[in-house]
Amino acid sequence: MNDWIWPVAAYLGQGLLVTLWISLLTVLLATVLGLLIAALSRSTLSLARLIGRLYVEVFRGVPSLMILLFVFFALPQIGLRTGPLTAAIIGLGLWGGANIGEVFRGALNSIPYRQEQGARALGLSATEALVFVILPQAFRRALPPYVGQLTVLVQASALTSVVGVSDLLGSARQMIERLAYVGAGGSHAIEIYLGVLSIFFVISYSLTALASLIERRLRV
Amino acid sequence: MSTGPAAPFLDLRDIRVSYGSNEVLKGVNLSVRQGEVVVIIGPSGSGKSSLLRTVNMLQPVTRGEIVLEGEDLLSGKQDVNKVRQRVGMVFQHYNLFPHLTVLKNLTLVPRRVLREPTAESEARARELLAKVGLADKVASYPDQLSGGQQQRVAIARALMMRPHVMLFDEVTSALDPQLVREVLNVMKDLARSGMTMLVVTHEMSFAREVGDTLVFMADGVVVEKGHPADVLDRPSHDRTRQFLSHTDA
Repeated sequence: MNDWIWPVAAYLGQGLLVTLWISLLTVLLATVLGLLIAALSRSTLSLARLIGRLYVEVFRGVPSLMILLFVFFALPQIGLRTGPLTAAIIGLGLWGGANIGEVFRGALNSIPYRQEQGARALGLSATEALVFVILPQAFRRALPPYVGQLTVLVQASALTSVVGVSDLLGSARQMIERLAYVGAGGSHAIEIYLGVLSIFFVISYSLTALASLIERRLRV
Repeated sequence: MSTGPAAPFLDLRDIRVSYGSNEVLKGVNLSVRQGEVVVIIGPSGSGKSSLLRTVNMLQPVTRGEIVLEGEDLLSGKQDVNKVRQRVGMVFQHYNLFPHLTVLKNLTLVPRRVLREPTAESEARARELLAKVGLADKVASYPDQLSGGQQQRVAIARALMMRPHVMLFDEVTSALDPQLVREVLNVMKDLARSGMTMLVVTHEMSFAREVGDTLVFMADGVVVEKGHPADVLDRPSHDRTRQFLSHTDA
């Protein structure tokens, strides 16, 4: 009897939407933070560089799950109360921002000084050199590791089930528990987890495939 | 070659450059007439590249005066970017933009900064590329070209700005010997067309054949300058003689 499949699939579909939503917002937040950190790292103000550096070291130095738990359980104690979904997005976004910031910073630094020098010698201002010469090259270099970080963030979204978000993994766990309890021929953990695993794989693989497509188009 | 007006086209007066406590240019004076080809030679660390860079203000000057076409470049009133458009520079490592085709390397600044119509800048780019013998490479990317071809693109790119003077900083030093000639030939044509040029090089035959004036620098000062044949064949300083004995001049 396979009549458990459709209700479970429908429920997991809801979870998938939550996962995609968390991933999207996390990626946006992390990308904005990453750009900010890369900009700070190139600032002429040493204090700005220090702040960027500290941020990166702190958030890369602790487990993402730890940040998530801290935002959801610890911050409310000082009055910063958020729902599980918001806590998940903020926690993962802060963590991802540090990693993406490093990707952007590394890409910018990998463009040799000669490029800037060549551009300035032609009469471009510092800003024009950045916009027309440095950033287009840095963008191409950042793309592969950036997409790598995006897949990491999508996968890390599965951690949010720990703070009670009904994402794809959270929904799957709830279904397995319920099936085991109602005794519909066992928990079907193998089938359900394999399904969840396949979905994560397809999302990650699509991102990577998209990246290599863009790479080829841009002549990275 | 051409005889310039009474006032020098480019006048460097008592140029001093320091990195911290290390003084790399210790008061250099150099006058350049319009259309003159000045070749600068000297051992590495003599300050010849630094001197070249002061002319397009890539190298900040600690003290001194640079007068180009009657304008004091260090007065603080000059728009650095406008000055650099008048002073073309070509580097040892070409510094082409790898993400752009040859054509776009040439038209980037005219189109984006000078707001020239695309058709106009592309036409001029094609003309200059033909002049350096690369008419068929407009759509290539820099990494598809040999070093000699890349350097010729770099020269054409600098010429796009219609510079009044061109600076060449060891432009053949990174090239395989068989590619040096094609770059030097382009420079010879440019010199014949009346371009004012400052050329830092180790190519003594080029200095002899194309240079109007040869400047020998060492330890941040001009040791000797004069007609290339005179300096190369009858150097008047021991330091020059010593340097030339290590070259095939």
